[in-house]
Amino acid sequence: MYFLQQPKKTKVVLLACGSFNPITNMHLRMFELARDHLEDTGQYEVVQGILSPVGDGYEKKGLIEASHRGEMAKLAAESSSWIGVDTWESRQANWLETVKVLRHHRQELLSREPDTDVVGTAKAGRKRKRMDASNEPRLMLLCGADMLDSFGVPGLWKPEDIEEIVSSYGLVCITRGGSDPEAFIQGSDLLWPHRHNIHVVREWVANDVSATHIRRALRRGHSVRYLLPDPVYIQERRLYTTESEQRNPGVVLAPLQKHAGRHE
Amino acid sequence: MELGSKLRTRVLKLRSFRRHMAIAVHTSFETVRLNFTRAVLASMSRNHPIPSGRTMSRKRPVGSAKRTRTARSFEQPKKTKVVLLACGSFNPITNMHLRMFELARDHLEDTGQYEVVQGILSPVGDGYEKKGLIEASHRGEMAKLAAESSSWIGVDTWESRQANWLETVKVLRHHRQELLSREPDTDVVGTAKAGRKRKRMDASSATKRRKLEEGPPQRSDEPRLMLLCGADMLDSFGVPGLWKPEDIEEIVSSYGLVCITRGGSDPEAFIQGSDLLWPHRHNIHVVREWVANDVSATHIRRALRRGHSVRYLLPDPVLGYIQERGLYTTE
Repeated sequence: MYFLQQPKKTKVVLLACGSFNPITNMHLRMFELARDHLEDTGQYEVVQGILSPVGDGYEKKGLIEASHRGEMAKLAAESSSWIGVDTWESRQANWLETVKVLRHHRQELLSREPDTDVVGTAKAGRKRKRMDASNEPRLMLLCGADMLDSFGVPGLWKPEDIEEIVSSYGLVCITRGGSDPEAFIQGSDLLWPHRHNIHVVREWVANDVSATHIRRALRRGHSVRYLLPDPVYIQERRLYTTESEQRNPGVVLAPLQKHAGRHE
Repeated sequence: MELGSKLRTRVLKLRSFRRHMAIAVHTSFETVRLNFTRAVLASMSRNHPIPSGRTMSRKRPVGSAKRTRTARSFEQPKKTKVVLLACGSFNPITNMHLRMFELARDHLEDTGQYEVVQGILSPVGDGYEKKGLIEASHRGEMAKLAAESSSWIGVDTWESRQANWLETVKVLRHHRQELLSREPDTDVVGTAKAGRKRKRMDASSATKRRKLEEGPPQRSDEPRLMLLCGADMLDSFGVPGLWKPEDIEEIVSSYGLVCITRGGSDPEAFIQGSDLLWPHRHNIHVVREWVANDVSATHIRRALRRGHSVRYLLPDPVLGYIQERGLYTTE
């Protein structure tokens, strides 16, 4: 039939987990790059982007309160029509494995009301059933190449979690200067079978504006204007100082603690 | 032995005169000190190599240390006011262009010698005839949208409105003239009348033209105009036929250069290897951009041609302007 000639595109929702300490233009760029890349293939339609700041339980050095980080992310995403913030993860008391955050968000997507733009005249109930089958948006994890590389750090990720992420969900990985994701995938027996589900997006311009650099600049009283959507929130509250960078000094990162001796 | 009354009066008058002089001298002393030092350095450097511009600016200039400290009310050496001028295509303007201003300001103010009071974006005119250059009216408008939210960076379209392309040095001369003929700022220290100030400023501009070689003579309140650029512009000094040597000379001696390094450039090496630039290295400020932030307008134009997003690489209002008019969709 003429109407069905165009293969149906898979709807995609991109989820980015991170410290966002603070959120930068680079984080937001990742979403834009990922969307362009996926849509260029002709197979996907990216319908939503979710920023999920990590909770304070992550205990990373220099991590400021989740309430601030969430607020800054919201301010940053405010002007975007498709990127938003979800603070569920940040509100959890303890640190959560990434795969648990993915599971939560997929559940959220499944229990959502069907969109009005779903083609067809079937009743809502029938639509929902059909959605589970063909219209359900695919939730994919959006990350930088550094996260992919971190899969190789002993004790940081559970192998079964990595397996679930790349098989049940999917990965969109933005390359950062100094990484070679394709080589990493090539060299991993765990990732190799799922390579069709790992999308490597090359960022052709060096755009390495990291949150680390921004925090350093702020400690030194230097301008970070034009590296972030709007530094006003940070400036008004003087969020990033030498003191804030010393938080959680020498503490073992939550994921490493968790896997070291305790069971879930 | 007690002094005779006439002598005493003379001594007292002399003392108060000296006190007044000391105060007057001190205020202008800073200026004189800077000029003196520059003149000394300029003449010295012709024969003897001295440390690079960056270290020089931190070193205490000749013969001033003690004097500055003892006059308690004048402990803080007066800072040179700086206006940064960036000439470029801005085709379109990007976050990187705006970052250059912020980096330059931080760098100069970190030395403790400068106070950056203004930034000027000067888009090149259409006469430049560079491939892919869209109309100056658009480029100027986008620059204005980008700079709108800044308290100190603004746009001047004088250059872009000229029919023919102008050498950079001419743009500098124009803007310096503009600064000189401006009403004195209210924040200028001192109580001299406006007219007298302007005369002093005007007079010194004539003097300047005669004494280009000695480096920029500076009145205490006149802002110094410096050219802000990327390392690529500095590198372009080496392209045969692109710049007139006398223009380069004037830029680095009468004005000054603030050069932001871009990945793949080594400005200090370039200066080291240039007999033209080397004598003026104290007037060339190299600012290292520590993060790779190579978002070029070229890349942005390419992405736009391909229908890719350039969000967060340039200010939102600029992006809106481009999208509304469908700019940069073809080469």
